Amino acid sequence: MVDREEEYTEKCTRAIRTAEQFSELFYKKLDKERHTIDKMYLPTATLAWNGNAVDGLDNIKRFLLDRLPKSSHTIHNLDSQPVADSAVGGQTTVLVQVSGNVRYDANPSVPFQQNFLLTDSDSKWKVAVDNFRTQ
Amino acid sequence: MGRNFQKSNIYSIDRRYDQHDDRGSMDKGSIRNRLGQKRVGFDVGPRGGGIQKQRNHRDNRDNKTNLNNKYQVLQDDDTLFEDRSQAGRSRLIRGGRGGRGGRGGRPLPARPMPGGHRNPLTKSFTWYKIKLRSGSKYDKTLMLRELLNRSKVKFVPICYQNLQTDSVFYVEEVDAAKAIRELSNQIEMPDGFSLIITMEATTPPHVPVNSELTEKIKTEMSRRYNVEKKALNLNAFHKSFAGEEMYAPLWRSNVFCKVVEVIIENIPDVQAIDLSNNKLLNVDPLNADFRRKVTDLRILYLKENRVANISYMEKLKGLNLTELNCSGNPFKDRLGSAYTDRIRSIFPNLQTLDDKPMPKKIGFDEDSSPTSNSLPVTQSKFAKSSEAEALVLQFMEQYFKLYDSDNRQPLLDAYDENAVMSMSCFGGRDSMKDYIEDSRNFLKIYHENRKVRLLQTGRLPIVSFLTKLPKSTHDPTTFTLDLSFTSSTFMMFTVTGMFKEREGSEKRVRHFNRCFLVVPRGSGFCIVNETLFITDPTSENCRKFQTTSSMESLKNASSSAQQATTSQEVDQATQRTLATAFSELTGMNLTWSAQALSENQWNYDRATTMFQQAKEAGKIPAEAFVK
Repeated sequence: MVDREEEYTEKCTRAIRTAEQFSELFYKKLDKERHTIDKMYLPTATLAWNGNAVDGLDNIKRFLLDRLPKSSHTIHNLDSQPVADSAVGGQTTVLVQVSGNVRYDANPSVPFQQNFLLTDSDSKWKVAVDNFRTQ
Repeated sequence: MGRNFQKSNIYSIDRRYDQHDDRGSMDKGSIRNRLGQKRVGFDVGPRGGGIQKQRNHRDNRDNKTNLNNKYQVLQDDDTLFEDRSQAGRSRLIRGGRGGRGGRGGRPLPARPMPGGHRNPLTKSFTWYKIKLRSGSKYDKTLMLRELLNRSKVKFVPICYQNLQTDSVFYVEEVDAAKAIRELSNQIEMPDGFSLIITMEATTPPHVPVNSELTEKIKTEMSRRYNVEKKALNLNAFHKSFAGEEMYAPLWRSNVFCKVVEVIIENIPDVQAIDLSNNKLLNVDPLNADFRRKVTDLRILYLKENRVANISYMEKLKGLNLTELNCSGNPFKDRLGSAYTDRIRSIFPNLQTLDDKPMPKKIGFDEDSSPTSNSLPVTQSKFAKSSEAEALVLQFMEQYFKLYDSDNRQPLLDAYDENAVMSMSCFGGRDSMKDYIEDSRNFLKIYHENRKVRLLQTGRLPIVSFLTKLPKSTHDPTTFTLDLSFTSSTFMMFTVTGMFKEREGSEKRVRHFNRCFLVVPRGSGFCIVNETLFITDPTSENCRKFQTTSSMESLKNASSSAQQATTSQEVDQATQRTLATAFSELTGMNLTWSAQALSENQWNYDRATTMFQQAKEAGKIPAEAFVK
């Protein structure tokens, strides 16, 4: 039982750390180095941007580079959890919840929330699912 | 004799001051710059006001002595600028220290000046008010005739009226105003006194736009409208009213707005409008409504106005102009080389600017970033698969029904034994007081332990945690759904929307974002991971909130994944097959089945869902089942 608790705490802590590192890196890239952000997604990833489905890395890349204007994100909320094994069959996965404000071009900033499913792909955390919603 | 002596003396001093003034007048900007002071009654017009009072105070001085006259003259000059602080300057000059550019020696202003010498209000003073001291006791025609005869510059007196003891009228140009003022103390009145004339830069007279003036405006506008060319010439519109009782300068927004109203009502198909020479500071009355209704407008002339900043032009974005002329406006010089590009960004289809063809736009290859005008349209629902969608919608309906009830215990069934759940919130300490204690926001928590502890683990702790949260009523019309992952082992979906706190004194409305990870269990599924985020709604959110509603709108919303199928044509044969199947499924007759399917674009799944809902709501009449 203690082992399980330890294991659980470890998983939890890892999920926390992953989320913290991921969010910092992700939004920095999104705002300042968007041409490199495709590296953060799985080839089979799905992005839902305000209900617009973007499937697959190629489409995501094109969407982020061509459809989405220059952005500036400010994060004020971060939460994450280790995803249950029963769901992902042992594939290490983390659910991340982010909230903040985003500004496109020179428009006024709007609040947004975003959920990510991050998964271990060859020892690199990659985004498998990205749900983005402005409030 | 004495008077003559005084006159010539005064005249020569006046002259000197005129020269002094002329220096300033070459560059209209600096006259205005010297106007430092905030006025007491800003826009006085014929009604008089604070400025008037000041004048009267000075009027009480004995104007017979040379000294006082000098002072008076200087004050008159000062009233050109109406600047109390300038009184310091006049003292200087009397002492003969030479006031020209003598800023350094100037004593502190009598009153504090806002932001230094430049009073932004002074840019608005483009009309000139002439005051004839004690004019009301003289014959108006006599005075005006004398002025008109003697003045070096022709003028038309505007809105002449008697104000207490003085007579007041306006002129449109500064040259005329100065020329008239030069005549001060030159004209001898019947009673032996000479006429004292003062001038000040001011706003145009304010005339209420009543029905009479409206008619006059309409008449003048139709006179200036060229029906063949669909061109409306509003160049120096006010000049058409000079000398009349009712004055209508476009500078006055009530006049401009009325003109716009008349355009929209009578000539919404106008193609060209000339607004030059109206001393305009902005073109705000050409608002969104105007742009929506006057869609054929292609040519706009704004020459020789006073638009000071290109931001005023940016407000016209949406006007599909092919020709524009803004020469003679301060903002053009201010922008320098950036002028053309800025104009182009506001009016992308412009071909002619300031009478010259627009230069070709040559950019850089990397300059292809999309603008926020092209943001993808928000869809309220996205689902990877429509079967999954139907299941998830059903799940959501049940879940929120339980969540909104007084007892959340039954939610136990929704969660996996080992589920985990966390909640975080964002908002003011007071607003979020019911949530902040358990808010799991890594950015606000420093102790790792606490971060771990706040994760609710196991379904019993989770549900007991949920029970502690304020009771709620969700509004499904505000819901969005993103079902972005489905597989045989799990699904992930995010729901956002609003709910109202049912109890407590404030009954606050909140916005939430909830992400669920569910795994199959039995014939349905249960939650293994859940994040809940709560925050205050934006005002836009609040507007959409309704107190009683159902999930209908979300179910009916076309999901972006389904859009492809709905646009497909379904041929007759398929329709018949579907209708038969549907009839068997629902028990309805063929006609009703076909109708139900047709209403749902022959989407079988959706029709099924719709049918179930309608049946539960008792909306299906008995005749539908009569075969």
